[in-house]
Amino acid sequence: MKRVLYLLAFSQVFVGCGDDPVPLAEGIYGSLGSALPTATEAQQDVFARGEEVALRRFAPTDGLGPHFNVVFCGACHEKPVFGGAGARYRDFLLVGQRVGTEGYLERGVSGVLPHYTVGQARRRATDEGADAFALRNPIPFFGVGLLAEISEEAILAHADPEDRDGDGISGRPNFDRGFVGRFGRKAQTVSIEGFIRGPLFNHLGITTDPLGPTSRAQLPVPSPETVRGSRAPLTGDVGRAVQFQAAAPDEPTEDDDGIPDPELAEDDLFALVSWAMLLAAPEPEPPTERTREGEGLFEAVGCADCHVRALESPRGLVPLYSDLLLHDMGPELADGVPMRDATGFEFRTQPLWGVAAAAPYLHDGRADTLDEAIRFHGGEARAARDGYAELASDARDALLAFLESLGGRAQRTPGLIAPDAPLGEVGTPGGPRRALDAEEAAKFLRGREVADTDRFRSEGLGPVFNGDACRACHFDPVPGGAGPTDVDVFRQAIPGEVNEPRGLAHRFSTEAERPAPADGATFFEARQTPTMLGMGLLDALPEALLEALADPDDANGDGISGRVNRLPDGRVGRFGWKAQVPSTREFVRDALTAELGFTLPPDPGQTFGALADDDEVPDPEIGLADMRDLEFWLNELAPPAPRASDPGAEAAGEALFASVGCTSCHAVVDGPDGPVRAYTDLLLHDVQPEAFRGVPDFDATEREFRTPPLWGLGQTGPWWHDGRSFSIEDAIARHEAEGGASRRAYEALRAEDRAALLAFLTSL
Amino acid sequence: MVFAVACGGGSGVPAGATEWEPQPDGEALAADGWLLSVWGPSADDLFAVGGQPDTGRVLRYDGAEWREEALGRSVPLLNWVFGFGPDDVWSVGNAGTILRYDGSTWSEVPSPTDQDLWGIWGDGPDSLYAVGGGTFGREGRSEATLLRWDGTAWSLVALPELDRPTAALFKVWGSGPSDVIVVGQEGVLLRYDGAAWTQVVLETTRDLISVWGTGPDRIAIAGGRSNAVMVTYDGSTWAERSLGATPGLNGVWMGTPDVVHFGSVEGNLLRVDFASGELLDEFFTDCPNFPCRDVHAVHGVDGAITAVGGNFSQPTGPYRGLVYARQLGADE
Repeated sequence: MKRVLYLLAFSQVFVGCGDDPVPLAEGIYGSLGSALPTATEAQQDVFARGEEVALRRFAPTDGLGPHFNVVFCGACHEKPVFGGAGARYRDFLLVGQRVGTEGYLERGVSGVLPHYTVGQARRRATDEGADAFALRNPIPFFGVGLLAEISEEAILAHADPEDRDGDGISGRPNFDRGFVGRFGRKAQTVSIEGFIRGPLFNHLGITTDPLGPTSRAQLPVPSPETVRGSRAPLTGDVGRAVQFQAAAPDEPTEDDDGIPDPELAEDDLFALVSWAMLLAAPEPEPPTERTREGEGLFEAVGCADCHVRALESPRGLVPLYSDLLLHDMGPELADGVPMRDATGFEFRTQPLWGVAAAAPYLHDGRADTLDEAIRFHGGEARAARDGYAELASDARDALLAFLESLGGRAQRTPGLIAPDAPLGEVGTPGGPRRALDAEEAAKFLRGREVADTDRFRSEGLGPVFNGDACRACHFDPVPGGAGPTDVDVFRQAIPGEVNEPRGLAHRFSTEAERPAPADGATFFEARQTPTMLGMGLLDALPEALLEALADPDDANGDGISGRVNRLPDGRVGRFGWKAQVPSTREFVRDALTAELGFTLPPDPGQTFGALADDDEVPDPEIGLADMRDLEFWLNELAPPAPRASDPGAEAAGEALFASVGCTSCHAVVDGPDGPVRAYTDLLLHDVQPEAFRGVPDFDATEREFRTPPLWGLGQTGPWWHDGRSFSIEDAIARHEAEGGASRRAYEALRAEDRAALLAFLTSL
Repeated sequence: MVFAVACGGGSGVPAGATEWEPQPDGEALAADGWLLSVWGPSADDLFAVGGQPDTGRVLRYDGAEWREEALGRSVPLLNWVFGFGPDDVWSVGNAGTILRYDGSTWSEVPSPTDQDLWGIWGDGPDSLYAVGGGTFGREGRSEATLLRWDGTAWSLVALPELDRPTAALFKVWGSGPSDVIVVGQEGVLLRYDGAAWTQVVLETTRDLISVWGTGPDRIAIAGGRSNAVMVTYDGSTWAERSLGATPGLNGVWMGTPDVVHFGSVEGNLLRVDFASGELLDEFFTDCPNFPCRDVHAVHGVDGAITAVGGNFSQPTGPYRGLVYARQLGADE
């Protein structure tokens, strides 16, 4: 280190700075998402509070934005449980501008390209001049407090920046305010506070002040008050700053969204940082003969040269399988993004504990599997990569078995639903809407798994996509539900006298680039994710019923003129914000292609979805059986159940809802099995202000939208087709044209009547 | 694997130099405020400016003790000070504040901007420049600003077209009227040759905080924010160096052509060899409480050097300033 001359050579990691062997740290493991077993009662309390902050959905009134990627921390760190990593739909783009030959200027918000802007339901433009993009996949937080405790000496002991020992491995530290960095893909951050405050600002637009001295002194990773030599001479040992957690970013973050800064209270930030610091490390499985063999191979081929088994901390050796140093990964992995002292070729050795539950892998999530991740290695890891590739198949499997034994496997899921999660009670959120026999129940569970499973590139994801699973957008309050505004998708159009639709402007591509809009498409419209719960009841409504509800010429003179969205082939649309999809079966086809980029098998009578694309995965990329299971699950999902909390007010509100005219569109219709209390006629209506411009879809004009179902309304915010309403009342206030009279009638109600009507809506 | 790194110390105390010492009376005065800049016509007449985010102040050292100057008015935080003698001192601060001291009174000079002003320097009493702009995260409210004093009034100077969207210029210094350097956000470097301002395009995109030199072929720039960046000009080449383990540099001063004095975040005071960028020695100011105080400026005169700073990483207070000083050696 800079303050003391070190000349250390470690033959193996179990020997520390002294002569005595260093024991493995104890009391550091727990199930993923749990607190360290050594946490005190007070720390467990703050851990719980911190998790609440991590899961808190921020709205513009809380300071969200002006630009954002997500509305809560847990959005990116949810896999397999909160505190973990993220699937590809939570990837984000770094954006920059090349300057000279090596210079890189961060653009966007501190180098991050936000997808969304509050109040502007439009795709955020890429910054002018931006010419560099890099994809990032979220990384897990498990055990980060233990990494924070590791001494700088322990990290630097493995550094060899000039490769003096000639082994081809030349790890070097990154630095942050003079301290050895350890967090982030490029070890660009030394403090967990900094690692949290940065993303709060970059991804949520939530501003913070640095923690004050009192808070910092109480963090679970301690910050001693005196760490330096006092009035040290120009020469001599001046002591060392051993506590890097105090070296958090120095500036408050500020924005101009009209919400006073800081937007997150110090108590909340303290709880959030504490929660991260207290997350337990993934517990490795007991070694077996097979995993011992794999570990031996891991060391023999050279993986352990960077993925060193353990680093020393005050608790003992912490087996993270990383040296926390930067390594040149060559053109194979280079992203061209410098961060502090790290070049565009360098990345921190990723810790491997819990790696079984952290797919996809590598900084940009390009690897679906551990085998693939190893084969993508380059640069300093080239020899180890080649050594692995040259192993016999069985030996490679042993090595992979060793990696998979490093914790987290028991909690691994294909998506987010816990392994062996039960079917769910009839009528409950996520459960079936009726009693299912054994065969049906199995089909329901298979369909749920199809919806929940994160899809990989090797399965056909992409080449462009918005989500990597159905559940990626539909998870509020359960898989199959709605989605927050941070999974909105964008329709695009070529502007004109009538906007000319060009499908979706996707958020992601399987390359590290922002998908370009369609040629000439400069008009964008956000679309909020609607709930799929109860879909089967709507699917079962006969077309004739919808046609009977229609009054396209307002023949009854009530000012409401609902139309069916008639598809070119004559079918009546019923799903989607424009009622542009005629059935659950077509909805499945449409979403699999449009949102995930999957190609589909032909299905007689069905016209939605693509049969082929230009990625390298053979078409079709999903089978009909999976699609039928998915369709079954969707059609059998229970509708949101009413949740009465004030029956008197809600009953009064229901009457008012009818009396002010809302039910003219938000109607209870009679289905084959009785009333369908979705409060929608599934027809197109114009409820937009005079100046509104949108994107047409089939027979739906720019201004027309399907009456959205209201069941589950209280749990499906934000509202409006583009998610710009963060309260139900705001959504009511936006009704114009055909909805204008009802809106005015609502506004004319007494305050208590408006409250009753809102209570009714919230209870649905 | 083996790792070796050169650390603090190494060259010994320069001949004639003393060790850095805190200045208790100055730090007592700065116990509730930051100090951002120090300048003086002589070792026994120094001005230090700073304050709290909304309140500016000036301290003055008379060779024996530090005292607070009476400004006669409430002003925002003062960021920089420069002058030509004990009766002609300028200071600039937030919200476009410009103050002038005539030897007896501080008066406010009309300013053509409401942007924060971060630096001021001049080649003569009738020829000064001031620079400023916005701070961080205030999208749409910040504008890189360059001002010129022609002896009677301050006016805005049009900037040349920049290759990066810089919102703030931080410091200005020159070796003469036809050699003026401005540094700023995201690695912006401007140079005035007596006729026009042009951008010197650097590879670094880190913030450059301050600039000083001993002549047109000995210019040193401090910057980097988190990690130290040192930029030098030797009359022919601009050299850009990352100083690795050294935290970001704020203040820079040179008294001789070969030694550069830096002050950094985390309270480090460094001497660096101008030509090689080698760290000659490094001193750590006291850090009695977290967060440590940053050094923001260093300035030497008459064989003595003074460093000032504060706990800028505690923007909501309590605010604590820093004042250190020592005697310079013959070769520094």
